[in-house]
Amino acid sequence: MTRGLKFFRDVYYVYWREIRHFWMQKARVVVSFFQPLVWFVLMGSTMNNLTGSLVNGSALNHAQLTQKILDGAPNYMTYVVGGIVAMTTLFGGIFGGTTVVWDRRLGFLNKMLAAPISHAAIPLGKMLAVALQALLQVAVILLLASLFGVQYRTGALGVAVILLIAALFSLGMSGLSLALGARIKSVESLFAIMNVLTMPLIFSSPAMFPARAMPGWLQTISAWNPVTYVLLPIRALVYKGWVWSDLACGGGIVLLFALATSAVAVSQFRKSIA
Amino acid sequence: MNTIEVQDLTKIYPGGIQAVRGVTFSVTAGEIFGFLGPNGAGKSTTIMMLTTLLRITSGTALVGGHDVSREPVRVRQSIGYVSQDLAVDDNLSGWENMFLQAKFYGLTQAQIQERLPEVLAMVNLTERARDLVETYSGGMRKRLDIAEGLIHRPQILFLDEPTLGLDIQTRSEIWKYIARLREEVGMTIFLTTHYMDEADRLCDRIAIIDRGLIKAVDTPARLKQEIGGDLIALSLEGPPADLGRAVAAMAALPGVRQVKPQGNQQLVVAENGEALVPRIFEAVRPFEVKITSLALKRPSLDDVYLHFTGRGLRDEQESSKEEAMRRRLIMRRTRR
Repeated sequence: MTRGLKFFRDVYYVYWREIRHFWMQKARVVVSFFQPLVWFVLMGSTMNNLTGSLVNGSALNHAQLTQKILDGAPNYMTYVVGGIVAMTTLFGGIFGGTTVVWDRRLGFLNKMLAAPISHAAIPLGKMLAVALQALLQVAVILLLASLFGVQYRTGALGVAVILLIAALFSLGMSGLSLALGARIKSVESLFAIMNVLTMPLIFSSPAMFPARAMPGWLQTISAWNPVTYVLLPIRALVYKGWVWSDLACGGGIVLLFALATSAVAVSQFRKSIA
Repeated sequence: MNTIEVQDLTKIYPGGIQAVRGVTFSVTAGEIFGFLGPNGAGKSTTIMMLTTLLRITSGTALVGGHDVSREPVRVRQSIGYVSQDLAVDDNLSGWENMFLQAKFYGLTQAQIQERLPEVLAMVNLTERARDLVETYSGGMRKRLDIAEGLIHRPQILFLDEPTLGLDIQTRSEIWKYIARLREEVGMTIFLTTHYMDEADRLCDRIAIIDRGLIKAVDTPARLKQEIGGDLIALSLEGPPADLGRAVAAMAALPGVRQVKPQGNQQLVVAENGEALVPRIFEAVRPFEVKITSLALKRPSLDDVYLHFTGRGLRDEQESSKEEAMRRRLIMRRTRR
């Protein structure tokens, strides 16, 4: 068997194991689909009413106001779909790396490292599994959102591109998380770091609230936050249309981010990390 | 023919801890070779260097004819490694664990169909193969783990602390499987242990390792002979000056080879221990010394260990918090 083919098989079987785990844990599957629903129903509908009442009670016309408050989205639900997609992907991705710390503690990591598989296949297989889970979750979110009246301006093709971007971002975040997991050997420290990372990443991006509402310093941080660039093309596809500049800029940065973190993760695993 | 050749193998961890300090040994094909020593002696570090999991600092190691530093993938293909961690995946079935391992080793579908049932039968897990490992007992998990190490028919099997944490009944069961492996498959086995009875019962040859150095390598029988006779352990009480003279008097008795302190006891090595006991009492009578306890025994590997290292075989401190956590987890998983 050629080496290239062997490499893909190694990646596939690492991935296979992760996916088995995912489906084995019924509770995890349910929770992973339930969480976005909570965000939608609880925060989405309240914010929808809040922003809706602002728009209706004002002297400005509807279009001007939504432009001002919601970055051009017709209502908050439509605005926040992208945010929830980004947030779910971020969470799933960043905790994807904890599997390697568990594998180390259980000794399974050494078992894989002592087998004649490519060490690079370990992070890549795990990343693919995380990305597939993100893909499923995002599909559910988008479906839910349409039940709540969100209409996708770019149609089915746009939705497919949203899924692709979310999957790429998920690869990027899980790569980062795996690279950290390769270095930080205790589950507890890794969880602490990740918890510190996630919320600031979300709230220093326009995931929940438009950039326009942010103070200047936060806008500066937001410009350096990868989440901002996940939102850019997704928002365009949801309610702006095929805005090629947004798609190219956001898509490009997310792609670069994914490539960079995968490279770091792979190089960490190529070193001795047992 | 030697299947493992190790020359001056050294591991210095970042931070300067010398875990293995220049060990040299070789293992012959078909042999069961054991590393005996307490936790922290350098056993696991050695096994991890030989299985390519740790980079070696200096020295050379050839495993199955391949250099561990230069041809790690070749080495990995020719060995099976069963860590002390019980590294089976609880969330998969026994069969799936084996299947995954087989795929990692590049076995074809036909080979899998042929070998999986064979290896599972060998460790008596055929009936439980489709159940989740979560539901297995500690002994079943260990057997599954060993079976996984055999699926690609390795030339050499590495077993790191094969019975760590298992109860006595399960331990002897695992020993039976290991002994069978050698008989039926003729496999070379390298194992580490800190259980004397395990080393005594399984190993053709033993290396006694202490603080990163090999103190002795030989068959269990010859190591015991090395001590040169029976052992009499004495507890003495009295003023230090008299104690010193009493020890000198004992050492001067005919048949006594050596008297040496061991903890708060004196250890007398002698031929024909039974006859010596009354003469010891006579010898110490002139002094202000009381014998508070006395034990006569034939040498065991414990004594051999003491003889070569000057201390008992007990656990040293865990190297890190994460290490301690891991060990506790192993205990919890085996005791089911």
